Amino acid sequence: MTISYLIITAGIMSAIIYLVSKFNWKAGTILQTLTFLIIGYFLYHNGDYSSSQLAIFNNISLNFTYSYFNEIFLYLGISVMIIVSLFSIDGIKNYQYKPVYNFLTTLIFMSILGVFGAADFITLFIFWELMTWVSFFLISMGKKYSKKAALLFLFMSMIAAYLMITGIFLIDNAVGGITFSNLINNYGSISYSLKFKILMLFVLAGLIKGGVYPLHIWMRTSYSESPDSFTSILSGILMKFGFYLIYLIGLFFPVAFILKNNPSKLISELPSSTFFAYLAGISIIIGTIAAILQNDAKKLIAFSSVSHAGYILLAFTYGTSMAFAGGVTHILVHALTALGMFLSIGAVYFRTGTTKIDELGGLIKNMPLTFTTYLVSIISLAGIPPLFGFVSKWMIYQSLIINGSYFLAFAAFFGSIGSFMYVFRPLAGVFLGQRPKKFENVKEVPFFMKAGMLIVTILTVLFGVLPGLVLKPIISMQQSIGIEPIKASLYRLFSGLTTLDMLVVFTVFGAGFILALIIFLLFAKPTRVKQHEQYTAGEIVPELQTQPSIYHYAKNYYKPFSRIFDKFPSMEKLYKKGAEYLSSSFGVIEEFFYEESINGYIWLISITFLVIIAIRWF
Amino acid sequence: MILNIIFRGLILIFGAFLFQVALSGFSRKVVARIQKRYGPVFWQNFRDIFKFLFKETSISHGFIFDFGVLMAFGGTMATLIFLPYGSFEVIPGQTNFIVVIYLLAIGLLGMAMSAVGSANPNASIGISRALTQMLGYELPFLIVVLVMMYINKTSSIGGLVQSQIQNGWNLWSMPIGAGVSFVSVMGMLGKKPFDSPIAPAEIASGPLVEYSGKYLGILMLQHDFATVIEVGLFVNLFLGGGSNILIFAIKYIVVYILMVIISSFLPRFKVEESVKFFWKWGLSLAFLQAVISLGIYLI
Repeated sequence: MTISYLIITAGIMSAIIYLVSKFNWKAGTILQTLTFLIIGYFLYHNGDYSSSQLAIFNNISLNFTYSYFNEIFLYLGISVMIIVSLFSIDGIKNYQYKPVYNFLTTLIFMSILGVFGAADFITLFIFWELMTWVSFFLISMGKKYSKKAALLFLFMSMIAAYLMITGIFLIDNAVGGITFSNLINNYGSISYSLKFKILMLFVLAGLIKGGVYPLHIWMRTSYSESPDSFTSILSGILMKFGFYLIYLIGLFFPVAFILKNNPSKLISELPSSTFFAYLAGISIIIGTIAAILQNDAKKLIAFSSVSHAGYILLAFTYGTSMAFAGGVTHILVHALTALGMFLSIGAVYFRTGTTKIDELGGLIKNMPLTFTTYLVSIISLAGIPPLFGFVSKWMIYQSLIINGSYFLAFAAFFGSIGSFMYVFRPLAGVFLGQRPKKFENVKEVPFFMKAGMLIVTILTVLFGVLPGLVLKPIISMQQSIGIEPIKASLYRLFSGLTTLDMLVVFTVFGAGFILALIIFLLFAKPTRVKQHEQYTAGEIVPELQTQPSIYHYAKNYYKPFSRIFDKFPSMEKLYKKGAEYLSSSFGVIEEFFYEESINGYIWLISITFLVIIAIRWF
Repeated sequence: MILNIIFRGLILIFGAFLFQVALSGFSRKVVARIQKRYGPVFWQNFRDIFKFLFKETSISHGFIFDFGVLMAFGGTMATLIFLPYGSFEVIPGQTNFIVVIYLLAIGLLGMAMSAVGSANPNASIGISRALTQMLGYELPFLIVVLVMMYINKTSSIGGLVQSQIQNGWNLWSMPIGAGVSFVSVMGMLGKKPFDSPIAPAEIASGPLVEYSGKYLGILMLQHDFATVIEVGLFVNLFLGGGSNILIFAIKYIVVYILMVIISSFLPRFKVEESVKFFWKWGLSLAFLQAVISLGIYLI
């Protein structure tokens, strides 16, 4: 079945799922999971590349394609949605409007198919906007301040949408059509300055959605306030829409013509790429520092997303074949790891009702699988071998080393080592350390939530040992557009500098662990003690038993580090100051336009009409 | 082939154990002489480790406490395999620098997990300091090595050693970078003045506070193996490795004892002071070295 049929199916199913959920929400969510699975199966089953159209009016139609460049993104989107939907079967138990939630997430699935399956820019835009509006409602279904967060999200998304639609009009004007193939064929006829404008518009729109510094301001609140299972979708897929746009533009713009002459550089024709690479570097550093200083686990992951958005942008703007492949791989890595982290933190919220790190503690005894998911995800996120995250980091590093860009490499290293700090904080504060009395009877999450988290864990390990599974479609994509593909087999990667063999790394690590285990078991069996039996320098601390949380070191975990940044300005505060300045100096004009009563608006509208008529008349 | 690799790997781990434990025992003697004491015999560290390993009682704080120790010990032994020692490589051709740096991190993560799993706040404070300090010392070192890898067009440690055989030691071609890396390696080893994570008098040895018996023995071994990797990296990257394992060992001893001597008469930095130190001096000197080296290379 072609994409257009799948999209229609998803649309119809969203209504059915809503009705079933009204009747029984659990059945509705199970139906949703099955729908996603079946649609994914049909896409896989008719595996041939194909294009299709969905006619709206006589000569206006939405164009879709299933092709080399969007194949991997389609599967990513579908898999993330399946996992989150599986998680939701138990996970949305506490939500207020479950049928609406199921209806809207099915629409999100439809918009994912539409954006990744689009063959022209208008189709892309329509589904992009569908996603924005649906997300707006979904975010506002979350926690206490979620309505405010949703407004900020909508505001930033609107800016992105305006930039994008302007870019689409410019393309339409320049080449007389908005399909991707039209753009590729007529690429040569666009003037240089126009190319620059179009690229800037699209990349800026992508950066807002991708959450790159300094346009990241919607992420902190949207991530922390939205419902937990939706946060996973938001960071797993929706944030990646921005990078898909940059990827498309990077793919179509220069590829068709430049690559034949200079296969190693993608966007090098345009001077902006260096600027964006450095912006990416700054985004990595700032996102990392901000993440280290957070106390709420979800806000922490939100800022880590800013940092990882920097990695993806860095890889795309850097322009070598290796970096480009690394960028696409990093999208997959970040989708998987952010999914794992948000699902596990969501599971903690499900049972305890908080995501503040210093209020939790010692939950590993109650939620071992949640802990495992979180641990595997953060090891992958920090780029530690033998897991999936190391592969993409390695590819990005290799390209940085080959070209000797030491400032960008500094940023990449900073983000990577800094990530040890911030990923460790929830691990220490939420899962390890002293468990407060009130969480003694917390249970592990129900079956379907466990199943969702388990799939993420297995995939992260599997792709780490056998990265060829995901690199194969990337290589065939590179071959199709005519870039020199990266060299990789099922578990080996070759750069110009050295060879990476993930299987050897995994085996040696496993062997080391087994040797350590043997040495450990050779000697006397240890005695297990309770958590309050601690070294207290000989003093008796009675509170250790009655009130263990005071002995839990989680508040201000990186206090010495934060002292370094005491005088550091915050971008959000800067924006706020700017807004205050604007409203204080131009408040008069605002009052003029925003009338309290209906009459005022009617007056304004009549004036506008008069002005328009007057202009037409004379 | 595989049996051969396993055999050589075990030989390497056992050899590193004998060598480094004896050497750290000897370094205690050196420190003692600087402080005008006699100091223990050089096999004192063997005695300590075996005493701890064979203790009949040791305290465990739960699953993650054990698992983290295994992860740290296993990860560090695995990292040992990916380093060349003179002409000795366990798996030929597998000496990827980035793998070594990151696999070393899994040891640190395991250790951190296990220590925080003990639920003692002293351990948590130590770990938070250790991770903070890591952001200090790794960065200058990585930048210097990046420039080195760019100039020599290889990112495998074996390749860098080979190119030094032809072109002379990197110590002479990148003297500032070598100095910066030397200090960075001291930070990695937790030698004074960078020992705030394990400050014994302040936070009761920090991460190690809850360990006893065989756990402490294993972690002492782990620390010794990590020392072999970190000092071995410096020897390989700046002193040209060695044409055989004996020359490698001699260079290694010189570097290690020099570090011990320097750290023996320095006081302790606060953790943010040491981060600032590495960012201010380490980073600026590393960037200076980068500019100079790239300038020379491009001309």
